[in-house]
Amino acid sequence: MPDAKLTIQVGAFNGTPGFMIDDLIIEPNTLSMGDHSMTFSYNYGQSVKFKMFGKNKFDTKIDDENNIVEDKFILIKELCIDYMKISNWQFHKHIWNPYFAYNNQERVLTIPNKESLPLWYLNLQN
Amino acid sequence: MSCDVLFTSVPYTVTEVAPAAPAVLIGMLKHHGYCGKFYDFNNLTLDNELVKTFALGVNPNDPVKLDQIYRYHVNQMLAYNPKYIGISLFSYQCISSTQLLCIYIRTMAPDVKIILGGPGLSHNGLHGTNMGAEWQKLSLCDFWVKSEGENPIIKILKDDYVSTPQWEQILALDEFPIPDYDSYNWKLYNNRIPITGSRGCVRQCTFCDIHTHWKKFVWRSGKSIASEMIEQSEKYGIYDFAFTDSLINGSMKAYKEMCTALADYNNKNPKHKLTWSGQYIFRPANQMPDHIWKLSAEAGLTEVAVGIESLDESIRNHMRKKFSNNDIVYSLESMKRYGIVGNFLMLVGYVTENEETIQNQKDMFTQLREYAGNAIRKVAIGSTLAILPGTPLASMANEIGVKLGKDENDWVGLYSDQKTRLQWREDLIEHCVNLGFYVPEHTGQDQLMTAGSVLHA
Repeated sequence: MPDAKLTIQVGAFNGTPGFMIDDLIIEPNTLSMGDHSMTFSYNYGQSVKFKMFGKNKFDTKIDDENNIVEDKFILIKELCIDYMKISNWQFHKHIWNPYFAYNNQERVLTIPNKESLPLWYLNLQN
Repeated sequence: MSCDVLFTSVPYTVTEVAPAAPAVLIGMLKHHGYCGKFYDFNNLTLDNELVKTFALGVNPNDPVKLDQIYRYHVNQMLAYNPKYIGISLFSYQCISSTQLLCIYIRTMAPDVKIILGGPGLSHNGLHGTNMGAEWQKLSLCDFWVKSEGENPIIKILKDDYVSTPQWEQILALDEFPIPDYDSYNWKLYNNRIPITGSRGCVRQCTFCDIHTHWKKFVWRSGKSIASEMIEQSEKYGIYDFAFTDSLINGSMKAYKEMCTALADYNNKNPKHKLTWSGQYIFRPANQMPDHIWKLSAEAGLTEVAVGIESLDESIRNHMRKKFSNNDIVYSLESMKRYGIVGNFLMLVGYVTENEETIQNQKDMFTQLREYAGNAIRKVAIGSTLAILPGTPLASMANEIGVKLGKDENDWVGLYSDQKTRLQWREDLIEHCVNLGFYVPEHTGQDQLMTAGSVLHA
C-alpha cells in the first residue's frame, strides 16, 4: 500500500478539533493551531474518509458584523499521493471544498484505480 | 525485442535534427555491454496540437483523446521491453509532458524504472529549480541525472548511483565511444546527424548560464571530430551534420585541425562530400583570416548560427560578446564569398537597451541589407531578455538598477519594462521584414523563452 502525505491547517478556538482519516484518529486538542503533516496508507480504487469532530456551537468567535474572527476548523492544503501533488485549489475546483467547518463534517475521496489515474490527473489540471 | 534502457524525448521541442543525447548514451551503454534504444516521442507527436498545447501549459480540451495518445506511445515504448526508460528533457517546455508520461509509465508498467535527465529538468535555466528531486519524492522517477549522463547511466545499471545535484564535468571528451544511432528512424529527420565537438563556451556573456554551469570549455581534437563524422556518414549514408556545440570555433586550434581533415576528405571523396553547420562566434580578421573561411567552406561548412544578440556595439560590449560591427561586416563578406549562410540570433531588450540603441540596431540592419537572403539567411529575433538565476546579470541586478520580477522575463530596468521590450521587439521585426530579411514569425513566442536566442526557429 502506498503512503499519502496530507498537509492541513488547523484553526483553534476553545481548543483544536479532532480529525479522522479512516481508522487514523487524532483526538481533539492534540494538534496545535497551524500547519501539520500526516501520512496514511491507501490503495488504488479505495475511498478515503476524512472527518472533523470535537467542535460545538461555541467554538466559533464572531464579531459584531458577523465575521468569523476565530474558529475551530481543518483546511486541507495539500495531498501528496503517488505520482502527484493535489493542491488546495484543485480540491476546491475538482474534488470538494477542503474546508471542514462543522462538527462531524465528512468528505470522501475516491482514489482512482491505476487504469484511470492518469486521466484523473489530467482532469485535475484544468 | 528487449533492451536495458529505452531513451525517449518528450514534447515540446521543435527541431529538424535528431536528438544527440540518446545516441551518446546508447554508444556508452554498448561500450559497456548493455543495450540501449531510442524512441522519439517528441518528434512523433510534433504535429499534434493537443500534445503541444498540454506541453506548453494549456489545459487539455480533450483529456480523453490525450489519454489515448499517451497510452498508445507508452505501449510503443513498452514493446521494446525495457528495464529502464530514460526520459530526455531538452528544455523546460518538456516538464509538463514528462510528468504526465511518468504517470503513464508508472501505472502501465510499474516494474520499469524511470531515469530523467537533460537541461529541461530545471525551471529557469540550468541553475533553476530542479524538478528531479521533487519528482523522486512523488515516486515519479527512480533516478535523475544532472548534466552529463555518460558516467551516471553506467552507474545506474550497475546499481551504484544516487541522484545528486553535484556533478563533475568530463574533461576528456575524446575518451568516450562514438554515438550510436542504430535505433534512430532517420525518416523523422532531415538526414542530418548531430555531432558534439565541445562543451561549455569560451565567452562569459552576462545573460547566459552556460559558462557558470560548464565551468570549463572542453573540446575534442579536430581529428577525432572529423573521424567520427566520416565513420557515421559511411555507416548511415548521411553526409550532413549539425553541431550541438555552443560554438564550433571556440578552440581555433581544434577547428583548423578539423577543417583541414574534412577538406582533405572532401577533396578525395567528391561524390560523398560532408557538409555541416552549427553555432559560431564571429571573430576579428586576425583570429579568423580569409584562408580559414576558405578552408571552412572546403571542409563543408554551409551554415552558421551566430549569437549576434544586438547590432549596437555598446550593448554587445556590456554583454562581453567581444566582436565589433566591423567584425560582423568582415565575416559576412567572407561568408558571401565562400557561399556560407548565416542565421542571426537576436535578443531584444537587454538591460542597457534604450530608444537610441534600438535606432542604432535599425540603422545597422539597414546597412546590412545587401546580405539579406545570402550571407544572412535568417534573422531570428528571439525572446526579449530573460534574466536567469546563475547568470552574471542576475548577480549584478541591484548595481545596474534592475528590479527582478515574478519570473525571468518580468523585470524592470532603468530603460524598460516588459511591455516596452516587447514593443521594441515588434518594431525591430517590422524593420527587418521591410528591409527584406527573413524573420520567422513564431520565433520567441511559443519557443524557448530563455535568455539568449533561439536556434531551432
